[in-house]
Amino acid sequence: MRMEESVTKPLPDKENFIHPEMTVLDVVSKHRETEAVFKQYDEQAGECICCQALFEPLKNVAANYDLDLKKLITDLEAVADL
Amino acid sequence: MKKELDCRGLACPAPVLQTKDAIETDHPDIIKVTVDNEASKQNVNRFLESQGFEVSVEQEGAEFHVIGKIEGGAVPDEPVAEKPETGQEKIMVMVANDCMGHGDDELGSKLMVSFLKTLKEMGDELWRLVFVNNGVKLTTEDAEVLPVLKEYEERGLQILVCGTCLTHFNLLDEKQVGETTNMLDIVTAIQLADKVINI
Repeated sequence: MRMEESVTKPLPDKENFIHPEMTVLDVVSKHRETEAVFKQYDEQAGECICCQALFEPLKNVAANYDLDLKKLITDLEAVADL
Repeated sequence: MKKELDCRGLACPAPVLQTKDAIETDHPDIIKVTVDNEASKQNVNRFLESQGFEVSVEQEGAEFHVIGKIEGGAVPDEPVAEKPETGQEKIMVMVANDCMGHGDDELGSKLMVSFLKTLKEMGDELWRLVFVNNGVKLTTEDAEVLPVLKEYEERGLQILVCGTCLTHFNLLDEKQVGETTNMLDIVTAIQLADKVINI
């Protein structure tokens, strides 16, 4: 079987979206402006997310602090301009 | 090379981010990070350990000196970097559907199974197999091609599966093969590959 090949150029940064399995550190290190969003969720979480859950995937953060994962990611992507 | 960071007065994640930047930029053998709160101490400690450093902590009053040591300097953070053997191309195959072509899905499914089985003919030049969109369904338990993919993985082929796509189809817990990944890894893989084949 002979396949048609196509060389794909790198996708633009816009496609570099935020994923539930990214850790808080992954997110804030790639999109520094998202730290403010996590701070906004601190009150609902009851503690500093960046202090206590820096190495946790977003899906665990949402589960552990009873946060809406989709909304969290939407809020993060909004400030990250994705 | 020794690197010192004064992160006093900074709350997380700033000390960890500064530490990460310093490691990625300077690749120090020894790094000393001074912090003044417990969370930063623990997080810098954990981050350094995750990067392969041997970590010790010295307390001086209200300050903590988190000291990491590593032989040969830190390795830069490149999630999917891997060099092929000299003279070989790195071929990445990106599968965005669970069937091949358009017209008849039943035929397309058979063709896809045949295609994925035949990929082994690429030999060692087959470098990454990436599943996105409807293609992620091929990595789940019901997929006919699953044993073939597992065999590839056992042989060392890196299989990346789009996590957002799995989440979209509610298949995150159904994936049986490959590494759940994100768009950054996929884009990085595209940049590193010599050739990308889209199916």
